[in-house]
Amino acid sequence: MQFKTTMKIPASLCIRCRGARRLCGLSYCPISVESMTRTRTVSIKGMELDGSSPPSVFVGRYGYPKVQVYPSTPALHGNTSVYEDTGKWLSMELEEFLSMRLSLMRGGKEIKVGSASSPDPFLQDIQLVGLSSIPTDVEIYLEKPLNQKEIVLSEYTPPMGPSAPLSRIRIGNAKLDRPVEKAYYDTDMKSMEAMSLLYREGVDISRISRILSLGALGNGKDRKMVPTRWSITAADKNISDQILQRVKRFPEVGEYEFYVREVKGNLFSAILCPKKWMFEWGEAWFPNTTWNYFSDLTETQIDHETYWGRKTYPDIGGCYYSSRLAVLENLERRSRQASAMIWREIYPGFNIPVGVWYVRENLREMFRTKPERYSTFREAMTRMSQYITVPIEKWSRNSMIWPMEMAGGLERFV
Amino acid sequence: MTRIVMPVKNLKEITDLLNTVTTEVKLKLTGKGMEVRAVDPAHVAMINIDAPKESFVEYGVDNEEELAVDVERLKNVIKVSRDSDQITITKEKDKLLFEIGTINKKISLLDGNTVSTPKIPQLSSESYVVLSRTDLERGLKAAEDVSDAIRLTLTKESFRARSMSETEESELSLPADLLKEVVCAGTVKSSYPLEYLIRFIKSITTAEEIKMSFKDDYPLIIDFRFGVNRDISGTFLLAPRMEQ
Repeated sequence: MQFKTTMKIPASLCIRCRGARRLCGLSYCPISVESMTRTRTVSIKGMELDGSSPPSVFVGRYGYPKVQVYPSTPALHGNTSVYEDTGKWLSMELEEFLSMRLSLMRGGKEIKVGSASSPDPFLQDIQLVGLSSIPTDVEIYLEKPLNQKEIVLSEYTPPMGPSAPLSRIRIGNAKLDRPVEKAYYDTDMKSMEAMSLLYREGVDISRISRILSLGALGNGKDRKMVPTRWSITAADKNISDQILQRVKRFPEVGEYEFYVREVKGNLFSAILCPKKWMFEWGEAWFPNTTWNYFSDLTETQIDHETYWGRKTYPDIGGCYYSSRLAVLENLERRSRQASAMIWREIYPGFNIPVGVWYVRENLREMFRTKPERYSTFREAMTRMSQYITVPIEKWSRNSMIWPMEMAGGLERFV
Repeated sequence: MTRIVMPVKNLKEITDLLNTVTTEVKLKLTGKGMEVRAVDPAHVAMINIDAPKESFVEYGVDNEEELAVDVERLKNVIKVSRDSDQITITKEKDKLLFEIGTINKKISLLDGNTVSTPKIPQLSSESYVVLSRTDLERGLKAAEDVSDAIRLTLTKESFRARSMSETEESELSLPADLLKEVVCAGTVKSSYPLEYLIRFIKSITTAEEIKMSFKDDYPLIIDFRFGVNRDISGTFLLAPRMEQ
């Protein structure tokens, strides 16, 4: 497995640390990830992958509209669902998570995205595996041995293990639950409607995005495969858009609410203001973090939307919509609306992209906690300042909500 | 019976202006003319419009009346018109009938109890500048891709509107001789959310001059006259942004 960090760590440091003390400053031990992944994949011999797919199918984006579709499996049989269950990953150590995901081995085949409108038997099999509500046994026959260099580490998608071209696949019994079956076989249902149905029926967002990526939703003749990276954001955006329509009808939260979550090299914090809907998502990347390798300065970036929404794709990327979904789920659960300011700080050592699920699940967890309530924004901000380490001048320069709240709006003058 | 006739262009401009802050409004018809007040959901921007009865082609209002309407529906009605048309608006029970040339359209009035009229804050500033709308619009558009905020600075010598990010900067700088009028003792400066200002400035197309009054960290008051004969007066209020 070619899992390497881009920083050079002296061997003497690793020998002193032995994975226990994080002397290198990283949020995970690269040696542990490497050896754990090797243990998980050691049984792979020859050119056949045999296991229970969690289920897991990855759709690449290069070459669009001809894309690589990768059904994948660990070298394990049985209940492997945790490999795709984003809700369970938060409680794992980062090494455990990374090695688990990197041991998902993939067989790839090129498919035209439009072929989802009349899927051939091969694609039907892949769709069945991907749509299944339980892990499905698969035998994936490869054209050549796994290329250990071809792993997926992306800011959008969760990590994935090595791959090789697929020659054929045999699948065991897949099981489609009722809402998924309805959405798949109803070729008159629009994809927005189908996503909404699945969400309403309790299908988790990460599964909805997988089903979308397999071209299994929407009007039959328009069905297309969607690269996993795009499908994740499409699901987060579309579902949160729908929740927002409902949330805008609710009254505002009663007071300023402060939420915080400190976790593995990250700080998530939020203030929900007793105002109509407005939203901002900000990230501050310290030097030596995933997206800030070359600078000595912390870089902050914030994107926002006013009550009327935004017309352009946020520069900050897919996590904008993951965080938007998490806060809107919280507001809908309580039948309230708010102006939501959410900031994340990413500290040195957290230098591996893990996917936007990380933001979504951490914020879901944060919004399950009881907030501290304050009667003014300034009080809530004073509390937040005890946690954040990026100077407020830096945050506020890019913020939409902070300068407006601090100035007090027009109400102050009525 | 309530029946008013006005140039379509005036109704379009009023609607576009209201659309920048709200989706539902009450049009208040009095013996003097039509008044409209609207606030955006975040209470960051407010609009006050005063269309005197002289700005209408016909103004038949027997009793004071408040017509609660959906702004989007109004926009849809106007879509079918041409700029040179006149529009006749008649209240028929719980509906409004619009006659535009050969086309008649009816929309339902909203329940007046569900649409609130905001209180207008009492604001005043001794410092103000009168400038051409197009000059300001150019300055705002130049700043649009730089930052979310714009900082206005006024002295008796000049007016400046500046936006900056860590990597980019944009500034509109107008010396006194390019301004219609400037009244300012010392220097006043304040920052405002650019997005709201841009939405506003794009919606008023007939206003030639605008008067901007502000002081340090204080709301911005923009007074302007618009309409085919520039006989409708409007005020746009915008909350300031706090700068570190």
